[in-house]
Amino acid sequence: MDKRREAISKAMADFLEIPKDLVLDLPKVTVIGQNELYLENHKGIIEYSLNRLRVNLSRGFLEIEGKDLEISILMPEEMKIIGEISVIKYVD
Amino acid sequence: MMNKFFNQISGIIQVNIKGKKPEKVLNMALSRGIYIWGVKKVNDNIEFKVRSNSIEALKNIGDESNHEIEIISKEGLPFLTQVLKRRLGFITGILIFILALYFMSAFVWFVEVSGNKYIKNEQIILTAAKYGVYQGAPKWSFSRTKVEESILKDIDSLAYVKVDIRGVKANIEVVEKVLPKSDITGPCHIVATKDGVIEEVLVLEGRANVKKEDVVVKGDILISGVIIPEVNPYFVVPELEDEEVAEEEPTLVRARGIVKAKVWYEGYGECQLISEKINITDNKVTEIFLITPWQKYKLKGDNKRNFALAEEKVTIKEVNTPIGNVGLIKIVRQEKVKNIKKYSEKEATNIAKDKAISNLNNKLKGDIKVNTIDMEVLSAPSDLILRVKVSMEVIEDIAEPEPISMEWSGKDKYN
Repeated sequence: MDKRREAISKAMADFLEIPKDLVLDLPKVTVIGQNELYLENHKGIIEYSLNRLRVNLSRGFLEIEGKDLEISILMPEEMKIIGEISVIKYVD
Repeated sequence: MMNKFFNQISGIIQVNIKGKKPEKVLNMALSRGIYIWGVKKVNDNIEFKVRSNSIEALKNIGDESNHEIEIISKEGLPFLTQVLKRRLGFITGILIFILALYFMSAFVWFVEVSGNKYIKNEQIILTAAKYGVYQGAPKWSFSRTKVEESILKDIDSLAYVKVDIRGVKANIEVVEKVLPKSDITGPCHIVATKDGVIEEVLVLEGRANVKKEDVVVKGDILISGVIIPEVNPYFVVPELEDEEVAEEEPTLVRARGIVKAKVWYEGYGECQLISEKINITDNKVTEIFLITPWQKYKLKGDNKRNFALAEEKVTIKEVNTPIGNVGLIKIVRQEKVKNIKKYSEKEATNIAKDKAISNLNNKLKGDIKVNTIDMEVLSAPSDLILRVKVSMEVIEDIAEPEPISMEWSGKDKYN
């Protein structure tokens, strides 16, 4: 059921040429260099420590590994992470 | 940028969350729309910053989820008032200072007068003081326009007055009236101002008393303002029965006219045949010394160059300190050179003559026509100084009006 709706939404987004992060509620990740990461459309924090940060997404979660990680801005829809980032991993 | 500014205004609180799962608090705060930033893990706890207006909501979340919320620090404008409360004396001091400054600036502390040439400053200042503009006068006690009008009324010779108040300074700007020269309106004679020989007489009104080539001395009446009626030779008096006709009263007029006369001036000039002149050259030496209470140190300058003749200029800048005088001395030596010049007799005569003429020209004023210039050498040929006398014959207007005194009586004095 859910998968079908998703497929329809995707087809609609393709047809109308609308950005998918808006239609499908997909995360948008912007990485600047190694030290800054912007994440939009997140669904909350699962785990946070200095070396690892796991952020909930609409499907699965995002795992960020690094050193001295810090969430410098935290808002309902977006966040900014600073620190020495080494791994960005999508986990289903 | 702007965000940080608003954070400062609403106040920032840094908190520390202790508990099993501090991430839960973060998520709950997020879902309730609390703005969070600067999240950092410190040991097992999480520290972050929130705006001071959302601290109550955060405490509720803490209570709900069994986490301990501890406030670490506060900053921003709302917490500044607490600092101010602690320094009440300081703040009141500042306020009193500002108030005193404001109060003092409501008075006139300086009165200045500008634009006057003949009228004395004191007179204007005293008059202004009479109408309320004086040192220490409160600004609200007088009206500028009224003071201006009153000063104008009081001092007749002023054409314009502006009282300009800038801060604590009252500047009174005045413009004086330019009055025409007082003219003689009553009857008068024209008299001679100098001794001389009359060259030209032009009578506009009155009766000429002198003619060309007359010698006059200072004070002589040149054109008389008294006109004695004369019997017209062409007018035949029919009958001389009535004798009163002959004894007609003389009429008084204001005599006018131009009387030019030859006048002589004498001038004197001299010139030394051998003259010494001291010229200043471009060569100079500058020395700078530092004075301390213990010793005098030379900072700049050398002693090698010495001039035979020099002008020394010394400037001292000293400061009196408890340990003694400290300062700088600057000495500038400017070289001088002696120039000796010899003149021949002819050259010297010319120089002396020029000097004498320029001396004379300084004395002469107005519209003057130079007729002849004579020169006479006064000194003996063996003298070192050549002395010259120059006499100048000029033609100038020597007329000057002089009112006729009415106290005079008797016809014999009307000449």
